[in-house]
Amino acid sequence: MERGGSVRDRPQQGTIFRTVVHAGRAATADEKNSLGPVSDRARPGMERGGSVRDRPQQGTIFRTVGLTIGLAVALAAALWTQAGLALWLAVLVLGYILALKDLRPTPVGRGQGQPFGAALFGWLGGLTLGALGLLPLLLRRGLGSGDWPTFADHLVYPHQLLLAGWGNGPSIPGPDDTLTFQLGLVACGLAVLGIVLGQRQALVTLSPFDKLTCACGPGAGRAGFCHPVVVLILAFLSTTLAAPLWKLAPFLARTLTYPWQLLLLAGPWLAWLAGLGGRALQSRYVPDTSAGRGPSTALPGLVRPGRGRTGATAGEKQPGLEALAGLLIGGRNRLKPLVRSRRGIFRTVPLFASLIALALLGSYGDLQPPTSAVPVADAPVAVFGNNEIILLSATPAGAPGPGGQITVLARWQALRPLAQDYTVFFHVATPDGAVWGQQDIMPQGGQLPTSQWRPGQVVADQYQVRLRPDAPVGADYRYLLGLYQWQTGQRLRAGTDDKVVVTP
Amino acid sequence: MTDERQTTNDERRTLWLPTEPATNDERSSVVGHWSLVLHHLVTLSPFDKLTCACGPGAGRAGSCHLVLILLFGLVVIAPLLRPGYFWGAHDARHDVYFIFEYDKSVQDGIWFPRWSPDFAFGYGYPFFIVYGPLATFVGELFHHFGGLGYEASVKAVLGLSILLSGLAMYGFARSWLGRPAGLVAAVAYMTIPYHLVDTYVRAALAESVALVFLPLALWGFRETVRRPRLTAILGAATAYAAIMWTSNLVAVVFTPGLMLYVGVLIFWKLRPLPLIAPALALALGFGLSAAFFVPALLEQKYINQAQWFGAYYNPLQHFVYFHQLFNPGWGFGISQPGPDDVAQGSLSYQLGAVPALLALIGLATAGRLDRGRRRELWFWGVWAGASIVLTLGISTLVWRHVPLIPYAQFPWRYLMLAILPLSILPGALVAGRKSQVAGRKSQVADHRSQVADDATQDTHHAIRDMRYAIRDTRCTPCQWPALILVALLLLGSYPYLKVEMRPPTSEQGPVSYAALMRFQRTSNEMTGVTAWVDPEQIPTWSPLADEWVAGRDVTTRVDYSRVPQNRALAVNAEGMSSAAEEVWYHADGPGQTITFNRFWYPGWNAYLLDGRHGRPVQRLVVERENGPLARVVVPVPAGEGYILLRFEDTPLRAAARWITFGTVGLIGLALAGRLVIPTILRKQITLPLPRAPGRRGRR
Repeated sequence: MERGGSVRDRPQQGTIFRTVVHAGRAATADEKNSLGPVSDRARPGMERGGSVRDRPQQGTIFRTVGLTIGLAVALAAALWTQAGLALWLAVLVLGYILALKDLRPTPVGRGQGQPFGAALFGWLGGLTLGALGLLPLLLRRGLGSGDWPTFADHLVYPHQLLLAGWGNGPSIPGPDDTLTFQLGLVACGLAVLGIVLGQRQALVTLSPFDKLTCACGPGAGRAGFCHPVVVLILAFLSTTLAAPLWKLAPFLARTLTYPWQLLLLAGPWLAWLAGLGGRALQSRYVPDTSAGRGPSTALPGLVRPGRGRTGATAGEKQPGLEALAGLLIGGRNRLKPLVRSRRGIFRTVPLFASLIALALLGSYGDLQPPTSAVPVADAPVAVFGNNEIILLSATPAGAPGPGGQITVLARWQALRPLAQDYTVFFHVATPDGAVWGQQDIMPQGGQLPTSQWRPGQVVADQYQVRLRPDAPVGADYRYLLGLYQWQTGQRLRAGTDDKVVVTP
Repeated sequence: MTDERQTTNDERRTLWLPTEPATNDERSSVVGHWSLVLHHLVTLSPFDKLTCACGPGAGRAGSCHLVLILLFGLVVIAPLLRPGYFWGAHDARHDVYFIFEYDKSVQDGIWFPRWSPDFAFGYGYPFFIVYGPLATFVGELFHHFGGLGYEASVKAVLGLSILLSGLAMYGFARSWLGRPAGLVAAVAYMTIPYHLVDTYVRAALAESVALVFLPLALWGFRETVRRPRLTAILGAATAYAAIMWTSNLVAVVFTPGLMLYVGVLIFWKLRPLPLIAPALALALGFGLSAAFFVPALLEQKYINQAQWFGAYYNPLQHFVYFHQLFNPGWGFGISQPGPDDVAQGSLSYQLGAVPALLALIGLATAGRLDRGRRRELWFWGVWAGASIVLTLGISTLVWRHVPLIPYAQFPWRYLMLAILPLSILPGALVAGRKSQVAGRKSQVADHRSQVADDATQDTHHAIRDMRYAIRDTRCTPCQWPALILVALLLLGSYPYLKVEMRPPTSEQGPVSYAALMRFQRTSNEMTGVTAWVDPEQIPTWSPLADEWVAGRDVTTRVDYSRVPQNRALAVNAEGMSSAAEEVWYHADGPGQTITFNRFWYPGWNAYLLDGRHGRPVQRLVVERENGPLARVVVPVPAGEGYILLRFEDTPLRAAARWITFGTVGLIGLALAGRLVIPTILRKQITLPLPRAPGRRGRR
């Protein structure tokens, strides 16, 4: 149940961690923001008078302060939510801030150099705040101790990052997890597009958006590498390929319960790259002649000649996909261009909608959480399958031995409607694996197959086994109880095992 | 200015993009208009040529869209092309037996039957009085003329209904959002999950066919408001009548929304005059369908309705839970009370991730369109919201207190209304400019009326604008965005394009009288009875069923257990059809009666014939049996003779039929007038179109 709890907590953690990443980036890049698309558009107005010029400056200061506080609070919240994972996040954010440090925008006078310091200050503040909050806990419980073998058992096999399967079970050692570790086909596909197309564009000419989000600056060659590298490092560290590294620094394992938790941190960067992919698609297929370059290939219809009442003029920016990127990474400021340009949205709406639909479609089939309205017993013996059946109790009777008769009284409860008719197996075995008696039968002698169980219904059943005459005397007998599909013989998992061991 | 634009056009041609329109100078140049057209054909990609149909082949655009819709439709109906039949689908068994019964009547020469003789274990039921016969009629056409079996006929009707529904939605959406929007809306309508549920899970023949006519009715009524004309009125009337003939349930559920739509359109136009055309269309629609809906409405009290509205059919226990609207699960079972339908393998109530998302975006970005279409899109947003709310438990009070709402029987049936906006709104994402939407003829008409309304307007400029607008229509916006959306819509529903083909159980088929009886007994379906049958003693079997199950033909429905077959009363069956029976009788004296194994119902008449298969000479009284089955009882006069028992139209039904015939005649007259009068009218209305400036200059 503890494991299940950690899985359930992930969405909340994801929100907090995404906020931290966004705040860190926004705080650092704030000045660039004022120099990017916003300043580009504001420049004509700024030339008119000083008062117009001052207002953005004031806004920038307030914004910087706000984002610094936001970064600190978000980082502290992350630490208080799951300290270990948040430490990894803090390291990534620090690296990110340092990477952005190199980006030197065009001089604008006041405020230059402040964002980096503000971001660093926010980062330190968040770390300090988080540590202070955790101090009582640390004093009371210490740093804890990671169990290296257990941790290593849960390293993800590389192929699992790409497997399409979906499950709701716990993480189990080996390659046959019932929990999915996929990165997401659509997200990965768009991210690759973003890396390939976006990076090429960044190398040719950096748009303000690139400057803002890629953290490339004058070092354009490094532009699009930051995010893919972060994703790759996190994915790598979660896999079995990184086992030697973890072994070299086992203390790092103490920060996590499972190595695959690092995949959670890859989410924001992957989403950003996916957004970049969408933007790259737009830039590639919706010509932007403002920089004196046209599309190398154009899908006819995404742009119309600039005529008529609603036709966009040549050279107009197409911000729709920037908005998509903003939506994917939760950046509110990315929506501004969308609002500003009705013409832009008119022309890019179909592509915008298609990409969002594609992103949704990529995960839609998995949006079936196994819910149950049945109150689960406080201490069930085991939960079988995908939260399908719980074993409330198993009471054995009888003395094992040659020709002995063993009876077990089991109480099952269905958690949700069941589509399958499962068969119950009751084996009496010794530690060497030898089975000395067994019964495989559908519940209540086949009178009440599991497909007829109503959610919440408690089914009491009794299984009886007579041991073989040559069964050993006084052996360490074990009673194995479980369920399987009679068509395939596949057993339902019960936590990390596929059976329950009932002691005599 | 011209040079800049020319340069831009050159670049665009290089990039295979549509070029800007030529100026008058260009038109008058040596190259001229046709060289531009030729240029389009040369520079555009083959795909553009195929779909954009710029230039002289403009008419091909619409055709290509139709072809695309049919191609996508083929993917949607592909599961139906598999051999076999989905005997496990909810109404699949009913559908074949509906056609089976219809066919029995057709074999007797009755093309518009009202009585189904073999339902209720052979006692009969006025099925086609209370149930829209159009879908079954179309199936019978396939069976009778196409030589298809009963199962294949059902599949043919379902497949055809999907394709036609796509075309109908295309027409409606295209009329105000443009061709690309029509394409997207059409595919969305065909692939939206509830439509697939109707077809593949429920096999709801009547409802599926009715879905064809919903967009047509919307289209027709919209046109009656926007541009009242005879074709619009007749189209709206026919489409609405078709809904009535197909499914009275759909008609009842759909009509309030339709009326609201028309009302809103009239309100937005802020002119009382357009009310006449839609009102006329509605009246004609009622007239065309009077032969069905008047008896259906007035004779409902003659059937036992409690069978279809109680117990399992209590709508309050079939509300959709909100999460079910977005649950991607899929099942083939029947509706179950509670939130676990899909988990239990029952049918899905999902809206469809892609249509729902695209509809939301379409609604959110409606602001970029002109005012009229924006408001109309918002109306569809409200329509979607209202129809979805009616499927949820929060609408319990509405279901309890608002009349007509519970007529839908199951709350999730209101999804049939929700799928209309969920198809239209995604289309709005690729809506063209207003000038690109209207068809050539309507634009000409609009401009003509505009010119006629304002005599001071510069006619020359108006006509020039019109020509540009028509040119815009020819060069439809290119199709890639629409095709991407269509692909996504298809992809989103692709996992649900499946059907459970399986052989019938012995209780279901193969189609025969015996199987029909077994199916009725095991499923308690098609066992409706008349209002006079004792509800506590509704028959669960019959002597006729015994005969059929034993493999013997039933040659008479006379209850011989009530006939002593002696001098007092002797009866011999002379012939029987689906709605009639002839018997010879001999009775020593008065007071003798012949009881038929048919439920009594208004319309059963008996006649004394002048001989075997002779003509009626005397009308006999037909009584209702004073017993739990309320069968037909015919008191016979003393002596011997031939009696014909026949199911006929009551005066009410006959009057309703004549209303329909009269309406058809009226429409025929109007159409005939339309063919004669237009030449006169055209001379009065048509303004001479001046030549285009380019041509004038060239001349």
